Amino acid sequence: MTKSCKLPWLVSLVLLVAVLTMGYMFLLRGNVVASNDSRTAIVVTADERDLLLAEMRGFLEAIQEITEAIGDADMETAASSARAVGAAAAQGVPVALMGKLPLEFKTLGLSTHTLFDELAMNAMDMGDENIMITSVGTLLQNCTSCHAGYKIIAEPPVN
Amino acid sequence: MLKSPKFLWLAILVLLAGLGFMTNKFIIAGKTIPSKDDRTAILVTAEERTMILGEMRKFLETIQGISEATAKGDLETVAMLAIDMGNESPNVSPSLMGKLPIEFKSLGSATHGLFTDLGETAKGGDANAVLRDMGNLMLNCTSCHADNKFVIEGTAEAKTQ
Repeated sequence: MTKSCKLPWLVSLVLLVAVLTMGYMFLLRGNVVASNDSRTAIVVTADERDLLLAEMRGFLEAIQEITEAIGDADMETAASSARAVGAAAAQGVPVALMGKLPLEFKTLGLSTHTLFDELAMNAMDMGDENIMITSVGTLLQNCTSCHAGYKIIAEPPVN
Repeated sequence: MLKSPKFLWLAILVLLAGLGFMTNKFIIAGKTIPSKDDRTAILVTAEERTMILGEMRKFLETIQGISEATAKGDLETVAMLAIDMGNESPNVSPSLMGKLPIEFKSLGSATHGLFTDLGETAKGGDANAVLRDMGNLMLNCTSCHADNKFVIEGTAEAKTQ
């Protein structure tokens, strides 16, 4: 191989390593540290933490409304409450924040939004209370496993 | 009748004022500051925060178990899970109790009571009634989360609320 041929190979290798490192840091690993309560602590800014916790409170409120609506056999309310926190609601998450979230957390979050959309469809198409309460159970499993595995902590403010 | 010395009346007045102050500080108000997200920040130590959040995760896990059992029509398990949670009394130290505002303490205690009620409903065998009870119980969760947050005292976060 000539000398001029070696340089592009070297540059390509360096770039590949950089892309893989960044992919690992921002797509897979996220900005995480170990926590003393054997969970993984995701480190974000105070504003990002407020955003994530507000989103979780939105999930909780939706599940409360859905549960009450299933009990009253009110499928329309169940569907609209579920749709309000479906995949469309996940669009507003800033890219910088996405980079700090580990892949498993992102997967769980996205699957939770999708499960809400499926629940809304089931409510309107079938209206089967049993299927719906099973979906609520599955949804809540996402909540419990995420809360058991992760905590969100705010990084100290930069002065 | 003997005339009471004036200083005794003064002492009673001071003690009453002290009692009123302590009741307000440790039973009613708790250790709170307003938060910039319009909630109330309850200031506790890191260990106390971990303990309280752990208790809340137990609520969540029980609600998940109740949903799953209700979907399977297993109301016996529902009753057992709910009554167990209703009977559970978290080991809250007097120091932590003093930091919790009265609304928070009332909601927490009422939530345990609602779990017991749900357990009794489950014994009746009506799954829809169980779901209505669960919806009602979860209103306590949503209203508490909407109004309160736990912040570790002395941290930068506590100073920037």
